[in-house]
Amino acid sequence: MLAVPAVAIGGLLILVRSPYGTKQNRQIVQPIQFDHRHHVGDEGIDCRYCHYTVEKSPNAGIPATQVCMSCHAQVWNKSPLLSLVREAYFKDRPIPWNSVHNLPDFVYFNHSIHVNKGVGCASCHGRVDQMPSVEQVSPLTMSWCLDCHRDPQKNLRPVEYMTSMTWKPDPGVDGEKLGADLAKLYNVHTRTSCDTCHR
Amino acid sequence: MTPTRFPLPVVADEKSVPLSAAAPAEAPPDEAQFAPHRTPGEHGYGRTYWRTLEEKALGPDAILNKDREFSPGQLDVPTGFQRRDFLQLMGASLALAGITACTEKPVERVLAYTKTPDGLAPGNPLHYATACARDGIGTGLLVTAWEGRPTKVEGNPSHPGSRGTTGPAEQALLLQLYDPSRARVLKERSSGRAWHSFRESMSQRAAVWGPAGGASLHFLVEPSSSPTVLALRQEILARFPKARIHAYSSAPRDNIYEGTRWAFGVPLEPHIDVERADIVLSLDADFLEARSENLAATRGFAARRDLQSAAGMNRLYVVEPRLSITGGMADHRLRARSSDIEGVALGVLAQLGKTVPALSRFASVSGPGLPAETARWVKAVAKDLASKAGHSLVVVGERQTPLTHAVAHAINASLGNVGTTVRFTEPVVDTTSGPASWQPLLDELRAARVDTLVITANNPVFSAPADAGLATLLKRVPNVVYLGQYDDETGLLANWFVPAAHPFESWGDVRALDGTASIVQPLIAPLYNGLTEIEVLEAFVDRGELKPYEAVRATWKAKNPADFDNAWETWLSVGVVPQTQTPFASPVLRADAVAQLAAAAKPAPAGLEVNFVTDYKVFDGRYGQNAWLQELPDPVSKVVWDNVALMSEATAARLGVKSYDPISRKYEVVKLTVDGHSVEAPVLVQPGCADDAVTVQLGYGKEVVELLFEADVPKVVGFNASRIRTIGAPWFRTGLQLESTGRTTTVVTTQTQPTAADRPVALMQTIEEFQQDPEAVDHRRPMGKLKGKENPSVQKPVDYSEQQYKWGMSVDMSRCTGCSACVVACQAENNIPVVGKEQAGKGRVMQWMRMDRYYSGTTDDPEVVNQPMLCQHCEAAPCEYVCPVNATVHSDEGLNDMVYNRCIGTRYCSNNCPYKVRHFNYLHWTADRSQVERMIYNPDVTVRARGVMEKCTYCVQRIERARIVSRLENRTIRDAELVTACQQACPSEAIVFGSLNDPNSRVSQLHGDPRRFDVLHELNTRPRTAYLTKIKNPNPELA
Repeated sequence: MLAVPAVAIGGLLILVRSPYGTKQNRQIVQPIQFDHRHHVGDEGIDCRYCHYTVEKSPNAGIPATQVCMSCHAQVWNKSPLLSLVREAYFKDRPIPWNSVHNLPDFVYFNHSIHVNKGVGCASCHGRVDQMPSVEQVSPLTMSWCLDCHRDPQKNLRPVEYMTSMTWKPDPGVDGEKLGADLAKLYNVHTRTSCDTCHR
Repeated sequence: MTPTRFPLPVVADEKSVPLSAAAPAEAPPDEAQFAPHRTPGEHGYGRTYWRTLEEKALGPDAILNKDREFSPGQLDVPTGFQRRDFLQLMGASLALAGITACTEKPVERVLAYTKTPDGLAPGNPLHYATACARDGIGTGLLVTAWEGRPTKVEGNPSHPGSRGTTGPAEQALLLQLYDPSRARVLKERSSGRAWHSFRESMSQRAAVWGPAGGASLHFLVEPSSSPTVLALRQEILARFPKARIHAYSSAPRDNIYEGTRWAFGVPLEPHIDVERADIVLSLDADFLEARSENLAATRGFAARRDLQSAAGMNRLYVVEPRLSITGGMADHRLRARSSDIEGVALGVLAQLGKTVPALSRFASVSGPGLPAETARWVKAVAKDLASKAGHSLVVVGERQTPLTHAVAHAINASLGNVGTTVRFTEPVVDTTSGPASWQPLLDELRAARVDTLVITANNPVFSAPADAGLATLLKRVPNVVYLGQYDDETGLLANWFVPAAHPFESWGDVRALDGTASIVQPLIAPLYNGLTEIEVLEAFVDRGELKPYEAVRATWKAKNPADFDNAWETWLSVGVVPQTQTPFASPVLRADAVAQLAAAAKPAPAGLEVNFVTDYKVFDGRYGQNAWLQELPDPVSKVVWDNVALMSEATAARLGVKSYDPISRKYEVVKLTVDGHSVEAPVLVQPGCADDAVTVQLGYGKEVVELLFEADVPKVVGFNASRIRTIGAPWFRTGLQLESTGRTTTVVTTQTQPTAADRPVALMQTIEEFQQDPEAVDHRRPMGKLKGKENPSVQKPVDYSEQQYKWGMSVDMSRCTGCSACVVACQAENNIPVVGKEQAGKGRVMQWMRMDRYYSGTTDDPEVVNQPMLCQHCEAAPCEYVCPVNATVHSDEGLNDMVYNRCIGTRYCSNNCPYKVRHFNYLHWTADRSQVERMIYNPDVTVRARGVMEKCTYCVQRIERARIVSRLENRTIRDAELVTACQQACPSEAIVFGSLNDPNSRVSQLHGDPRRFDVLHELNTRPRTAYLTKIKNPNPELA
């Protein structure tokens, strides 16, 4: 008799933690087919060229259309694939991007503190340089965030390699010791109090 | 299957006993059972505190009365569906409902800029310096804007007037920006028109006035200090020499300027430096009300209330007809009708004339006969003033007669106070804005010689005295132009209605009373097609149109040609134009003239007096649409969403007015009549009112504009006191007739619960009592002891000494004037909703801070102590261990966190909170907000829905921002860097926040102050907010 609600609740608990529940690994269709494989992989553009507020603001931000036009006013400036970008720029209308990494409104996440303390972009966002359209590779559940907050050292890297998609500790370097050293160097003190993220 | 009903006996609720019924005989209550309220030796340290007259009558046992514990309606069960039935019905379907709802969220869009504005990083706010003015009196502001929308107002630290603080009105100014009931359409009669149509119409109409030199063109303007507006006025008069510009204010400062004219021969602006004054005598001067012109005085006064200040503690004497904010801070208070205050001033002058050689020419001034008690008071005050000659101060309010002002100037000048505690400058605003200014306009209107009347003053049809008959007169004017914020009474009569832009949408300039100029720059483009006064006045000059931006630049370029563009940028960024303070004048006292006038003074007639005062919240009505201010409890009477007729207990008894009926919980409505004009008003007996003086607040009773911001608010709020105001006596007069109507009405006051209950909740002592009471010092350590024994707590103490920060706050009740700027600042910062009159009556006000006002002493002459009460962030918080879902937990640094997403609304936490600082969202206050109304929300703070508990968070969003900024720079948060919203707004610097782990922080020093005590410390909650006892400095001769 109690099995019915137990299975139902248990099933729900599993469901919300599954990739279906966390919306992981879904190819989100964007209004303009922006391919990171080309821009990051082939052209080697640094993440911060477009997402330039990541070191100063809670939001990494989607770049203004002006950033796109900074190249595409000259490069492929007549391509039909970019006509929507040009149209948005000259009509002064925002491009309605679909948010991929969408935390609930009651979570207040701050990018700047994470990237400045040694958490790389790829640690949470994955191999963006291999994504035709950006997908969410991390579950972004609270327990996933807490896993790192409880033991950040294994996710740290020197800040110079913040935007590197392929960084690994050099062979022969003890990864754990590097993590501990970086935590000390960058004065990493992760907090797990509720008010760290919830206000 | 689980049974749905259980065969348990039903326990009926006890009927609560009404106050008036005879109490049935029952066993006396067990003393031990109520022991927590009776800690021996703790009481009130010699004082009994009470908040309402009922509480005073019932004594400390009032708190035991179940009838008084809850507001009427607070325990109302929702009608219709009962909760149990609902759960039973829904229980079956809950398991099936919304599996997909648990996981699928709608796709959110990210709309980036096309071109990001310079310097803007989305996610970080920007701060812009601007200014605003009220009746021409400017104040500098710093407005926080997120991606182009302003969300919070602060004072500009660079502005000498405010030094970074604000009053409630400036904080609430923001709400007016997003008010959807603001006027939006430029209209000619009822048809919408374009701006150029207005300009063309005015140029065509110039053919009517032009030949006569503008004789039928009149302006009724708000008093202004703006150089651009004043220049435009001059241009208009140059073009139409016979046109007339009348300044209009319903709170005129004319008597101040008339008083200086009598005393010194020229109208001057007095500037008081209260910080330098050892003795202050206030004659009906409410200089601690947090209006923009008083902020510097509040700060200076508070600095001298510190026992440990180098210059020593000051002493304040106040003479007033009703209990005001300043009266609450007084060391000695004399109640007198406004009409009698001139007599008191003359009495002081006469006394000084007899005792001080410098004032000997006034020895012959006799003044009216004063009652013995008053004479004794006057003698002691005069002696005190003279003893600190050069460092004393007599200040008079704008309501008092010019003679009272002149007498004060004579005293100040003769005692040598001019140059230290008071200085004079040329006025920067219009010196006449009262009847003397616009009476000629009324004459012209009556003679039908006005063709065009341009009104930029604030709703004069509503606020003008009844015998002006402005509404009737305006109907005959062919062309009325009105620049208004709302489609109000004056707008109805306008031919051309121009919607006014909000200060945050305007370019302009203003000057503070000391002359400091600030450029007003807009934060946002006009939301509702608003236009500025500059643009309206431009329609009457014959050159090409200059947009306000160009007009202001042109004005200032004409003054400062050298490197103007760089200077302009600096002025905009700092918010202050340097070296614009008016130089001090050196006036010479016309002592003989004053003596003659004093000798000719007639005693005031006896009888019932009516006093008109500007409201602490809506001023003269211009903020009447502002829901934050309407919901702010009046600092003295604690009335919300209403105005009342205040009178003393003795006067009410004499007039046979019962005022408050505890059975129906309603207030008696009386009819007030002056010279045949009458208005009906509810009566509130206010402790501290003078006998035979009835005080009414201006600014209520607007009938035309509906308060749309909140749905369940009555259409008309309060009564219009201007209906009994007369041109000859805008501030006070005798001859008031009062009769009961036999009806009652609901007036909501927020401080009905008897909370003092003989406990040391808000403490006040004289210097002597404090210094000679060593036991008091001991008692105030947060010992958590009850009857000498440690009061056990289920929560073991936590050691915070290893943490980087240990957040704490201190509130100095010696400094707190009760102005309530902190309450509104908190509401603005934390997206706190407004609940309306009915819900406020049920005790569901949502403001996280409340200003508790305690009286002590007699009903007639109470002492007042104000205690801002907010979440104490107890280390052993009783709210935390009762939450079934861990929605409220303690952070590693001592904050009591409130996690809204976990809260399920049991309300057990609020039940357990001894300070009752938790607020529950009973209804969905934030539903149905339009796009524009939502723009006011601070994105750093969650907007709460129905069903969650909320409370002060020590501005955790500011703490986190400061933490991240400091950690990115690899340093600790500096003490001055992190301020909570309440601390930032407080004009008297009463609230201090910081880290207790930093021994150099101001809050650590204050926590170690001997005046420090914790509220309800005997409960061993170990609060992080410490309060400092209010110290009074009485005159031994008057004790």
